[in-house]
Amino acid sequence: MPGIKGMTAAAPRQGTLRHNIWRSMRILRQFTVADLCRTSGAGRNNVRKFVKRLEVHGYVTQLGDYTSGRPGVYRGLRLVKDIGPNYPMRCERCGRPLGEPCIKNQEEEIQ
Amino acid sequence: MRDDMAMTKNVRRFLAAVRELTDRPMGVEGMAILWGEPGEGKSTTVAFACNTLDGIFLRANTCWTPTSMLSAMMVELGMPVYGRRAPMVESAVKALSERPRPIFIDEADYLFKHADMLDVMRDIYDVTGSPVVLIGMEEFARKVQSRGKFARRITQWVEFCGIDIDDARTLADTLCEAKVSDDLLEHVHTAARKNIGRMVTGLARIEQFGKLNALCTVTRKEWANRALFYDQPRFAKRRA
Repeated sequence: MPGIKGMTAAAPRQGTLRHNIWRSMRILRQFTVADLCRTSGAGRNNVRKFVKRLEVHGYVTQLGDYTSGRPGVYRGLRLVKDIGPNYPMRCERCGRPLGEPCIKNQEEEIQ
Repeated sequence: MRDDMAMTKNVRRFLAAVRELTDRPMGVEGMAILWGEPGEGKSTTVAFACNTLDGIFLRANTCWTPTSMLSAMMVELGMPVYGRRAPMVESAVKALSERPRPIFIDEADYLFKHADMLDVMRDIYDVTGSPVVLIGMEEFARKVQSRGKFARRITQWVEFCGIDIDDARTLADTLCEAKVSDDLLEHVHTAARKNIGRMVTGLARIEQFGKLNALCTVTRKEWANRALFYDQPRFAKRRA
C-alpha cells in the first residue's frame, strides 16, 4: 500500500451522502443511478462519481440488456462485493484509494 | 426526469408509521408490518426510510438460523461476531440501548421457519424497545396474524397497493419535467394498471416528447396513440 509506513486508511464517515448511497446499494442490490439518487438524497453527479469509482475497483458491475437513448430506461448496476455497512475507502485488491485506477484490474487486462 | 422521491400515499403512510413507532408513548408496542405485491416500490421506500431514519436493514433467507440472524445483525451494528447466541444478543441489546435504531427485516416470511428466530427478535425488541419493521408478502401478514403472542406487539399494519389518480398526479409533478394534462395522466394510469414502475417509464416518454416538440403541457390529443411502454409486440396466430 503506498504511503508512509504504518499509515492506515481513514475510516469512512457516518451519516454522509456517500454512506447513504452505499446503504441504498446494499439494500437494493440491483439499481440504477436514479434509484440511488431518489433513496439517498444525493445529487446525480455525486452518485455517478461514486458508482464509477466502485465499478473501476470491481465492487459494482453493469447489468446487460441496456439500450441507450430510451427515455426512462437507465443502465442497470449490481453490487457484487458487499464489504459491510461501511463503504470502501481503499480497494481491497490493490490497496489504492478508490479515486485512483485499480492496478490489479489493469494487470489482468494486459495478461 | 428528476431524481426526487415521489411522496405517494403508500410512502407517506409507511414513513408516518415508522415515525410513530420511534416516537411512541410508553406502553405502546413498536412493531410494524409492511406487505405488498412485487413492483409496488417497497424496496425503494424501505431504502429511503433506512437512510432517513438511520435504520438497520437485514435480509432474511431460507438458510437463516437464530445464530446467522444475530451474526447479520452484529455486522450491521459494527460489532464483533461470536459463535454463540447469548453474547451476540447481549452485544445487540447494548448497542441498541445506547442508540435506538429501527430494524427493517426483509423477506420476514423466513423467520417463521424457526420459532426461535421470532423469539430472539422479540427478546431484543422487548429489552431495547427499538422499532422492528417486518417486510413480506400478503401471505406473510396472514401468518403473523395467526400468531397471537407475536401479533399483539404489532401496532402498524401497512399495505402497499397500486397508486390512485392523485398519486399519479404527485408522481408526474415530482418526476416529469414537462407538464402532463389530466386526460393524458388518466390514460397513463389506466394503461400502466396502477403500477408505479410502468408509470415512470410512460412519463419519461411523455417528457421526451414534450421537450422535442417544445410543449409546455402535453395533452392526450397531442400524444394521440403513441406507445407509452417498451412492451414486446403481440403476434397474431397465422392463418393456414
